[in-house]
Amino acid sequence: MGRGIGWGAGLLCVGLTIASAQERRQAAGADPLMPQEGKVLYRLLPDARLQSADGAVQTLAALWREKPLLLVFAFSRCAGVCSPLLLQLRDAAERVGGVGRKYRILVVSFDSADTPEQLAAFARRNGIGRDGWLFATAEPSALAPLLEAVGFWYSPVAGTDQYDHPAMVVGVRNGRVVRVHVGALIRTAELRAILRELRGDPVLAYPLPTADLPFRCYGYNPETGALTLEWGMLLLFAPTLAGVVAVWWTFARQRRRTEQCT
Amino acid sequence: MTELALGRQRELAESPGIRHLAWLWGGLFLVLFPLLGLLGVFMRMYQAGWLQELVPNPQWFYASMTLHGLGLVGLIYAASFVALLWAVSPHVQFQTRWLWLSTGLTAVGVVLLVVNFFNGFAPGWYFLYPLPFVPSGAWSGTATDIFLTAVAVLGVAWVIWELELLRAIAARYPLKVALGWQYLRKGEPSPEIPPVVLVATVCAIAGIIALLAAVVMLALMLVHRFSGSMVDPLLVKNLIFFFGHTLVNLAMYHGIGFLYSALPKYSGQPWKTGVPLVVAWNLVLLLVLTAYFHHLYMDFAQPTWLSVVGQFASYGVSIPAAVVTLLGTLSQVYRRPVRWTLASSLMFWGTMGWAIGGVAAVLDSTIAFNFRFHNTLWVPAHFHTYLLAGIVFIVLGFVAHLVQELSGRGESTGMRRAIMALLLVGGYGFVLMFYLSGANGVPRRYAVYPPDAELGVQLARIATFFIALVVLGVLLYLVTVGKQWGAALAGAQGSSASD
Repeated sequence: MGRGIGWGAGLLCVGLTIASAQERRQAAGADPLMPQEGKVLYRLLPDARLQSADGAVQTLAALWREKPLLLVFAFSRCAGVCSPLLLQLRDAAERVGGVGRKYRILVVSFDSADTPEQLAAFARRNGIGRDGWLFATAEPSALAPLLEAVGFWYSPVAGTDQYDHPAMVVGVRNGRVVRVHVGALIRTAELRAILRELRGDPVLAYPLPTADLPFRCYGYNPETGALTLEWGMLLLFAPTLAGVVAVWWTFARQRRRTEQCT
Repeated sequence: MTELALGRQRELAESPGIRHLAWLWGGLFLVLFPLLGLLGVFMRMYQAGWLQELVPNPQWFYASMTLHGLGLVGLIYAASFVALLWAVSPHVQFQTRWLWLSTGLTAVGVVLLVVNFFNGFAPGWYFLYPLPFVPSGAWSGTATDIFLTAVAVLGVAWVIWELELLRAIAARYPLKVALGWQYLRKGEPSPEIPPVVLVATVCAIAGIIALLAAVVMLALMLVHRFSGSMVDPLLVKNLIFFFGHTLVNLAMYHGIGFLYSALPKYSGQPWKTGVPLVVAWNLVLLLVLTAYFHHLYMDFAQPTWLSVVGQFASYGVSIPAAVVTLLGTLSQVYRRPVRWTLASSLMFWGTMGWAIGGVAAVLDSTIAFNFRFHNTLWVPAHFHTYLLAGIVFIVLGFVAHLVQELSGRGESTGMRRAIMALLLVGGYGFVLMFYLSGANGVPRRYAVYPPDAELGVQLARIATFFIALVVLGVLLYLVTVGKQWGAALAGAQGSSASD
């Protein structure tokens, strides 16, 4: 019987591990082609000489020394995710504000066939022409290490002039990767979080408590800093009260037993 | 009283239930402590930058951190609790079936935690809510469910333990007597009470309350689990530390209770209960449940007065108990013909480690200090001091005491000195690197240090050298105690054969 329980428990453990691993793979969308933020976080980017759409030549390091950067990789003939990504980023940046003043958005072409003129036209087609945005090509020898450093990849699609590649936005502060957003959809709240990260502010992984949060122990008014005690506070005292009752009851019960015996 | 402190300990050998339990947990500790400790070695080597190529996914660092922390805190709590039971058993009568039931449930909980290691469950040892529910793909919902089940099973197991301890004490002593209040009246105290009973009573009461806090915490997490809506994270954080901080403190107190009972066997000097001891331990009972507020200094939505309570409760809970224990220990050995063995050496140095770690802890619980050192490696520095060089030494001393007493076989002086030198130099060198890192602002819980904290990498590398000394010391300890254990088993078989 004992051996049976042991085998059963062992099989249950193995089953739970396998089920959990499968669930995790599904939840994480375990696609090896998706860039992983954890693998590139805090990496120092290699410098690269850039030629911007207006023809000016400057280095990537000079740009990040001036202001934090949002780095995007695209190419001018892109018929896929590039424009949706840039449009999402443009709209979100307009809603949040601060582009050009607090940070720059740098769009680097990974297609060696792109010229500054084509990139300028690409920017116009997407309705992007204001301050704070920069479209640039990079010298080929510097491009590959840069792409590798941020975990970006691309591959030609046979029979077309297109490339397969992920949609990603890389937050860069002082030359280091501090955030990687993967996917063409960028919500305003997500961009705010990336920008907070660029400033070095803490970013919460969960929403702040609101007034309708169940079991609140304190109410806090951020305007005045005033604190009020709420009903959830009772739950903090409950263990002590219940424990004291349990101790009293245990000793009283044993005392009664002793008295009965004597 | 001398009879109480020295002679009655012999009754233990006639109590097979407690003896078997002590042997089982002693053995479990000797197996699990090195294994869980190796996860810590892995973490320090990872921070040193030596394993990042071999294990590129830092997820394993955090999974190791979670199992290392949860596993060792649980193991130390359980093993020290058994040491306390063993020490108090000459004075009270246990119903051992409850203790075995708890042991079985603890085993189930531990297995579930180990399973979760392979599931990549990695929210850290105090699983700060809502992190277990926000894994960002790092672990699955099933892993969180397994974890909640493990916490529930361990909670039930340990509540049973604490209740049985309390019941056994209550069957013999009224509450006031068990807490030593008769010593606070004028005149001769009557009846006298062994210090271990006083400590056991304080531990049992505080333990039950802390575990009830875990029940409320678990209930709130289950509300989240089944409703999908968040509950107040600050309330859950309070409950986690109410339970977690108290449990860690209790693990140390268990060891101190054992010390009060066992050290006199080596010094020949009884450890008597007196007014300072009673005051100190009643203060512990009064304040240990509120000291945890020092974990919430950074939570601006927590009223400031609770932080102040936390600071002064931290002083009140640690200083008096540490002072009476330290002075008591020193008076036990100072100019006394102490029988120095591996067991008594480990007990003595464990007490010193508890006191040294306690000083660092008191510093860290000071609000002005904490604002500088919060979430730096100072925090693991202080808790590794009183855990590794404190309570772990005492538990290792407990196991050595058990096997030496039953085998009647000691170790050579050279071997004892070698083991102690390796453990002390290695242990204090290891925690010193944590202290230096913390003092220089190196953050904790980083698998890979950013360039701003490069010093952390250098100090982690030096720390691994000291860890190697600890590993060597533990290996020598295992060989030495293993031989004594074998001799004890052979003796037991021989005596049963001759019967």
